[in-house]
Amino acid sequence: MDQENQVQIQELAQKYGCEELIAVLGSADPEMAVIAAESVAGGNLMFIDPIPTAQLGLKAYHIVELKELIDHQVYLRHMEMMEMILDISRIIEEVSIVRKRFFPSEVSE
Amino acid sequence: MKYPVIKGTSYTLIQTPGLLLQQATLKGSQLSHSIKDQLRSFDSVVRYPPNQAFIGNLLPEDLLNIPRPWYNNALSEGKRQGKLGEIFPEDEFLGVLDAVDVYGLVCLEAGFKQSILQKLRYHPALCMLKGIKTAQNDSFSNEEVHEMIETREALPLIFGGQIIGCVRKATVSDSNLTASRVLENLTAKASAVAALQLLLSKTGLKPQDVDYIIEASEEACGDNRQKGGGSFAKSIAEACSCSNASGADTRAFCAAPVHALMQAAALVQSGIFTNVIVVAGGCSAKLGLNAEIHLEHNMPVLEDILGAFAFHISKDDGINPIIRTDLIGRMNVGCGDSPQQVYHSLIAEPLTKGGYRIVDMDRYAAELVNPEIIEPTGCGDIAKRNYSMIASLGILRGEIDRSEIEEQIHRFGVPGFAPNQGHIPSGVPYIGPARDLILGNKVNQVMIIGKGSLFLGKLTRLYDALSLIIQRNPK
Repeated sequence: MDQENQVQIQELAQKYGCEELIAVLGSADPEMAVIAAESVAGGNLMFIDPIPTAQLGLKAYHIVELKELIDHQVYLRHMEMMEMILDISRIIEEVSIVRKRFFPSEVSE
Repeated sequence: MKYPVIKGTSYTLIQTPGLLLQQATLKGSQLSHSIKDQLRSFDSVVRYPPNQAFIGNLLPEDLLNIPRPWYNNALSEGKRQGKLGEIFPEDEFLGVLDAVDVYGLVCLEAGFKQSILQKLRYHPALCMLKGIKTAQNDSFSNEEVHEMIETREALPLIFGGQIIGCVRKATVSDSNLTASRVLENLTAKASAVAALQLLLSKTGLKPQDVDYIIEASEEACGDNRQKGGGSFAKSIAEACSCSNASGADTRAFCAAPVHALMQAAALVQSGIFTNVIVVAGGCSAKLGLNAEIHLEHNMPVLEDILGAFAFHISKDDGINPIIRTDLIGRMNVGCGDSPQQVYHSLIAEPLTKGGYRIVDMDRYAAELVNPEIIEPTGCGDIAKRNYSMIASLGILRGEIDRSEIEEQIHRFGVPGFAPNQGHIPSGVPYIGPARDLILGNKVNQVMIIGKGSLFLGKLTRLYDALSLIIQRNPK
């Protein structure tokens, strides 16, 4: 996640409040998804550090976790091919772990 | 239908540790000293397997048989000259930088200038540059160089740890013509000139027979009132004595080279021009882009090289591989940016139109950045990710069985081998090997894919991509 994205997310969180927002991730790679989920939950953990003191406190979900909430045909049109190459179970597991770590009392799954 | 052909290709790599250190200093990096310790020798740059692949002494496909990391498995022998190109050391590059500067902004110390001119006059291709043959008599003393650096905002040029010259700002007050911008633009020009001069020398194409040049780098030259005015193309044509040529620049971030090839093919096929050159030089701002991460991983600083290329597109000669101008894959605005839609538009549509299946292409070449450079940043093997998507597209279309994914990727995916120079890796480094393999009857057809991060310019959130099919000449 680049600096500008982080700053934009921070501004949105300040304007609308974290409880009204989730971050939706599209990373093809579990490691990158974890870094992004950690960044929006607990501030920036990357080597570039534009907002070192920010604690965004946003929960992140990967798009594959939201499949049931999306119109099936729309999901298929955009994600059917990606599902073949993504390590879906690992992405879900790792992103869930980040949520549990940062929001232990709020996240049940 | 008569299609245009790819008549010649050339590739150059230039090791520029001095420019790399300067970039690190300009960015305020605390690690300049550590970077210095991890710099590679010219010999190790030459023997680095991906570099040998870039200049055509090794097929990119053969890299899969060399264990990683490649920087620990350098070839026992490596030549700076290759079938498709050449690797240059920094002193020769600084000589070319001076030779292509027509405003007296590059100021070399007299002793260095004399010795490098002497060296370049023996280079079989670069000796032909008019800036080398009849160099301007404008060398400087050591004191003059230091005075310009200390009092006139000139940037030092360093070779072998010594300041051997400097680059001056072009005007007193224009922030678009500071010494660093001048150096960035002259770097792109000089490296492109080296690639074009090498192309002319390798193919025998006479400079006066070049009709038009399309330059496809990612730099912008102009003053404060027209920041990206251009034209690199015409300045490159002038430096290479292409006196009958004109030209202009094409920009589309990393996708520009494939756009430029398409435009060159169109100019030839329409009969407007016969000999069109697509050329691009290297990007100094990308030197050492991930140096800090490489240092963290105890790797050598691999982003110490500039890349450049030149292609000659001409009318059908019945021999050279054709560009299928009727099968251009595009990423239209309306296709959005979900990978599935993009790959459908970019890959499946042109294949279907031509009556081909995914598996009919012998190779796909996309985002050919050397994975060794970018994997430590967490980006993974970008080239391979493209091929996974193409294989999954094949599954969706019922042309590939799920069990064949790895086998197909191995068969058709060209591994990444190009330096991390933005537009340089974008599919086109494989045009040279593809041309040779097609001429040698080893492969029939190859799809070249260019992708560009348009969103970095903040005018759109879109990215862009374009694909071309190169095919054996049907005659």
